[in-house]
Amino acid sequence: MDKLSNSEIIQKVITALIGKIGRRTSESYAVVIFDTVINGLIPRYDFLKYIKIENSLYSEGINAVSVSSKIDDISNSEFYYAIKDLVEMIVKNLEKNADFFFIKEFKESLSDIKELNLNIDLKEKGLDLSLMQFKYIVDKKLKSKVNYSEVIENVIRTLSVLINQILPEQETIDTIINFIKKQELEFPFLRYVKISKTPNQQGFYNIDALEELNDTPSVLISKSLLNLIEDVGKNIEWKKDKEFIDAFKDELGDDYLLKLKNLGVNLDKLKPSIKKEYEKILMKVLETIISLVDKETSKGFSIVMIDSILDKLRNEFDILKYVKIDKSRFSQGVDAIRISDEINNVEPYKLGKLIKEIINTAQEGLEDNAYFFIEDFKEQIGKEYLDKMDEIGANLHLLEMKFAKKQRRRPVRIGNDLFS
Amino acid sequence: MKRKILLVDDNLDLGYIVKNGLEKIDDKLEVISVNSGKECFRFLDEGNVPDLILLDIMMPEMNGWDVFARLKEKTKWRDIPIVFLTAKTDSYSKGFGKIPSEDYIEKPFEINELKQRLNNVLKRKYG
Repeated sequence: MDKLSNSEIIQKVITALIGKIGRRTSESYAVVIFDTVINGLIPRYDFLKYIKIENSLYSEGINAVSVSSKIDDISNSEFYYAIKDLVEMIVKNLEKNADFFFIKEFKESLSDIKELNLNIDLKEKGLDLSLMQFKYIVDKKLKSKVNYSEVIENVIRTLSVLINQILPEQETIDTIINFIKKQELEFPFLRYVKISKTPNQQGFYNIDALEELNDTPSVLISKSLLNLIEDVGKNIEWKKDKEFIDAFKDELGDDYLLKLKNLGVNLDKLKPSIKKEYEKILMKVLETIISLVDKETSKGFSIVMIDSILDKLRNEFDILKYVKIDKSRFSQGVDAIRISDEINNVEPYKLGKLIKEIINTAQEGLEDNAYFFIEDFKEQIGKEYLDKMDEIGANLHLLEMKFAKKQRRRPVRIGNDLFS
Repeated sequence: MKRKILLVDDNLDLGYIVKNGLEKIDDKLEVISVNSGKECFRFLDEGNVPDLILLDIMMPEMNGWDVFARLKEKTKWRDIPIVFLTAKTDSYSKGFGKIPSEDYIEKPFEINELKQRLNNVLKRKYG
């Protein structure tokens, strides 16, 4: 029999894990846990990014997981360390669901994978499931109850303080309640968070996270808090100098930051998604050009024009692989454009250069009107986005100068007519 | 083999002049003239595939920009080269039109110049 590749082994391990966890909970819950653990391990084992979990497909269980064959190139030693950590973290995250029998059954499932020599390969790397079985019994007796409700209360209080920096008190309370309600759809246990809509006699709004929350698996508490913080950070109009996430950390304080960390909430993971908004900037630029071209032509044509510009630039700008235009939906205007959030990871200057080139190409045939196109573009996109463009090096000043130089006299535009 | 040019222009006189003029001076060109975007799509929907579309911009109901976008939406028509034809001399239309189209010809034009420009596009496209 041929030796199994890394991707085949990991696929079998995942199937065993999800199958066993799923029997005790549900398969979709198993995938959520698995997704959280994999994300937590990626900083340590970069190659785990080759395991893709479609969060829109959680409910499809194991079908939501796919493994790229790129993982086959990883050295044997590194690969087994990753499996060891993966199994350990899963068991840790399962808490009360990872009982004695779970570990036993899981060990048996892994034993069925002949190529994965439990006794030699994994034990050598420090994963001894038999020992883990034994430790489970001891730990259970020693383990003190974790107080999640206190952490949750402080996270919500901190978020409220930050929201209150931009909204009045009553609106702050309504806003935070809405953010929590939104998360409740995915994490029903958040119903145990009670916030008073009116201030008490001392003038404070009560925020109570009930004790019932302490019975919820930590992995779910962690994911719900991470989602909540991210959602607030992305959706409130935070215009302070300090990044939202940094302000959150300062306000929460070191003690609770540590408690959050122990709970598995990785705030560093949030930073790029809140801070970087290249996807939004590029979309705004494209929308602005489309709107300007639409005024002179039509909605459908303006998107064909953008498509044509991007196609011309694709060879030169690798980052355009993150921008797709559905050619069968030209008539739907900007809705035909899809920008992958992977663009948020590109070097800012690359995006800046691309934006300048798109604008340059859009106006290059406009002759005398080129100057006005840039002027109209600036006026329409507004100061906020011009500043953001400026930050990534998409300063339009040079383009303006280029066209100003071409003209000896600035033409005057009345309607669509030009007068020199 | 004759190259088929589909002229889409609401000006019937222009359709007549272009058809007769082009076919007279170049026996390798055949011009089919329709006078609206709607007729253009009726012609194409019948399974006809021209080698080039000469498309007027300023037409009532469906203008040339919309016809252009609809043609580019469909895989079966996307590769047909399109040359814009317009009386409008505004540099906005010309500048934007030039980007995704094969060429842009302003009215009024000399029939010889039109022949030359169309043949250039046909040569680029089909060799």
